[in-house]
Amino acid sequence: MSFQIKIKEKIFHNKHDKNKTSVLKNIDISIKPKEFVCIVGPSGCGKTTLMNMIGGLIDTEKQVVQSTSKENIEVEKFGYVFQTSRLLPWLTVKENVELVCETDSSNFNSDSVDFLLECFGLKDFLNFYPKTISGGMRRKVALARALINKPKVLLMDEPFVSLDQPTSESLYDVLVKYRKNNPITVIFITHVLKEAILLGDRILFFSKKPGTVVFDYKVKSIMKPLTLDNKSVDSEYKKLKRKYPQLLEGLI
Amino acid sequence: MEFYRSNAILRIASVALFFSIWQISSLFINIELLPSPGEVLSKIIEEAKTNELFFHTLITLKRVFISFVIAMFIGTFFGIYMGRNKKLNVFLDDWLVLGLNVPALVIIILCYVWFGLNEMAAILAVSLNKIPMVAVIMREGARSIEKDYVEVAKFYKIKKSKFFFKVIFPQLYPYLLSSARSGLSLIWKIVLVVELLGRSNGVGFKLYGFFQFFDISGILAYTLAFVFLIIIIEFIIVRPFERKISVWR
Repeated sequence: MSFQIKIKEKIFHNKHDKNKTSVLKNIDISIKPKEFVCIVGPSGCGKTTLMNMIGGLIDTEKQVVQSTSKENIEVEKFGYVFQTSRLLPWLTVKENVELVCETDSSNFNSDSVDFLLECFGLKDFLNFYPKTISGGMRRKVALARALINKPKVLLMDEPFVSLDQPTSESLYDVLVKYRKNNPITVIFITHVLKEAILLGDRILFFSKKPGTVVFDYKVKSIMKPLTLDNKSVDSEYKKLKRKYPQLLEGLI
Repeated sequence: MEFYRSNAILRIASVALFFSIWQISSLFINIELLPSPGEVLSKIIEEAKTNELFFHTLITLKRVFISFVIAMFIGTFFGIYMGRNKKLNVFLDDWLVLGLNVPALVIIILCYVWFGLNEMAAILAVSLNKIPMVAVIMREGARSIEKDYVEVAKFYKIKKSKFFFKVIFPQLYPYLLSSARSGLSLIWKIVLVVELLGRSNGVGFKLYGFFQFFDISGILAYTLAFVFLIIIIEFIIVRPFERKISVWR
């Protein structure tokens, strides 16, 4: 399923001083099927706003995502991993995943929740509350929740932020393994360039506010092992930094 | 286990201290004005033997229960809607201020005058007194609902019933418990006034009778019996419920 993300301009109105702020401008991104697209840009450039618009959480009346293939695109076919895990603390691990399932539908199978959580190494924590498991596990549960309905597109907004390196790398592993068996499109926001090089097929660099794509970079090699200390990642990172020293500030 | 045991000891010590102060005070004050705990206990037994105590206490309890349920339902409904809908909140806010500030006695008298000295007027008067307080607490609860969780539900298009019972309602439990607790204590006090003014049964009615004859033992006997009942409700229903819903904490 290929699709296009089109936004002419996104303006936020400040209720207190009646000021208008342009957050996103001239966004026109084409995404190929099964592509892993990373979005990198300075803080406040509208990355999360873009993700929320794609996910239909803001400006629901606007058709931001348009299909460029025969297949219709529906937000129902999307999964979303938010910046924080956003697990409901009063529900157990299993209940949190089941929350987004159509539990009363005939297609629902409780075993599929168990199976997915087992694949993510959470078999022994099904009945645990989010407060009683580690931060890395909570991210895994959030990922499982986003994948349980078998989405065609996965939106990930800095899903591994504020995790230590080994935990982040174990989560890369979970994500990459899942995509091996279920090749889905991923739109992944990060501010860690090495993470983008390691995971993405393509990196879109955003400018400062109002955010727009200033550079569309294709990642050349397949990175193995899945660690941020990977030599290929390091050389690609250095190459990019040398050629475009202000790329992470949104300047080219 | 040790923690619970020390808590139980503290509670017993606290109750023992209360009754000791009462017993000692009764030795120095005129027995007509402050009968000893023993005398009050014999009055309770005497009233229980004639079934008077059970009859009037149960009638009051029934009124408390019905008024409580009505006030909680209506107050919760309006509180949640006012917390989630700014326009409705602006529209009803002055009503709420009015409801909170009209003295309980005025509402009771008006209900009796308008609807007569009957059961419906009594229940209505008690409920009307409590509804604004429940609505205010639940409005605060609805305002504090975490937007992040609502967004999760919105993104995954969770069904309305599931959204309410799994996402919204659990966030309101602390507010619900707080309004239930304060509600129970306020309602039973108002029920007594309602019974005293316009009913021919219930603890309030009995207290009025004892007051006529200056029977302090009778007043304290019924008060103690009813307080005891409310404490039992707290320990048998409210606390286990609280423990059940806050297990994740």
